[in-house]
Amino acid sequence: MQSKDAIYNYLSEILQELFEVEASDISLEANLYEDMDIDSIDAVDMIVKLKEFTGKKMQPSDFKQVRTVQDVVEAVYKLLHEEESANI
Amino acid sequence: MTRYMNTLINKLPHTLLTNIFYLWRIFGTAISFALFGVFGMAIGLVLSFLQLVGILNQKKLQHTARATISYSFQIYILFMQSIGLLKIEVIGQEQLSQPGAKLFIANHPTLLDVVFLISLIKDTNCIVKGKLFHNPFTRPPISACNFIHSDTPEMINNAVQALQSDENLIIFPEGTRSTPGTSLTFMRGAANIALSANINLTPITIKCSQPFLLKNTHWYSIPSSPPTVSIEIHKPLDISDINKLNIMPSKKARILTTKMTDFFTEKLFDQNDIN
Repeated sequence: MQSKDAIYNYLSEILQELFEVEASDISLEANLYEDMDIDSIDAVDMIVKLKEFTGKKMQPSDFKQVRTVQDVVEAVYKLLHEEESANI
Repeated sequence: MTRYMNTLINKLPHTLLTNIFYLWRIFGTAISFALFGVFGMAIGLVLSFLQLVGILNQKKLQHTARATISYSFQIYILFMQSIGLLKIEVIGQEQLSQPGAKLFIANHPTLLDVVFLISLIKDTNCIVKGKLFHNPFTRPPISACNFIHSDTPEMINNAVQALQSDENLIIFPEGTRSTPGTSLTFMRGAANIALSANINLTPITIKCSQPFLLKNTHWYSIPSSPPTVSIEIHKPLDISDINKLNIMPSKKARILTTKMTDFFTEKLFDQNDIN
């Protein structure tokens, strides 16, 4: 049951370590493609890393509308909590 | 007659001759632009017509288009040299016939870079900016040659497929002409393509002795004397040591792009320019 903050922090780590993004450039509103030089190959790797974090299956299609850091956090949070609300 | 001309020329002030030659070269530049536009369109239209009436199928069209344009560009360059617009020197041409030489990357200082490279490398594919597809002069030949568009999500797959079908491929990793006075910025597409297809990159450096047909300049801003364009084809950059690392593809692409950038920066900029 990861919180949005935990997701954000993990994502921030990936951005810095894997994609060489400066910590100061990372914010919820930051655009992955325009502000942080992330391309489509990077996006695939990012999803692989997020899968490791959540332990859940993820498809590139889940992130089709994603543009900003906040979009990623929301998408991951939604996927994490989807299963729980389905079980209720 | 010649002796008379020589004596006359020797008597004229040097600056007058220089100015006359300068004006001649501006005239020649204008003619060259016009020829490119007219012939580019004409060749493209003829080829499209041949395809339309069924004389050429898609594959034959591509092959014929690439051969026609390669030879046309050779003639075009000879023409420009003969009227004194520029001088070309090619170093390392033997690298082009090496078996592993299929994927070529080059820096992009001038408007004529594609012309130079396609005249040198037979039957090649090229990754082109989408903008050129919307230009009525460049669109017909580019479509006939079936070049790869840079601004689609399928670019990398199309490029890898072309290489695996044994096509040559030219990529300008800057994606556009260099901005004069700035350091090189390479996009990671070329690296991703090389790693994915597992083919070494053959670097080609293009150097101009004087600023020539640069980004953000007018067509008539020609240098004070004809520039010498030095095109050097280097030994391939090995990618296998990066490709076999146990790291994510995006990281490999970044490492390889840095390797490419460092190579070109070292070859293009003199020690006393940068540092």
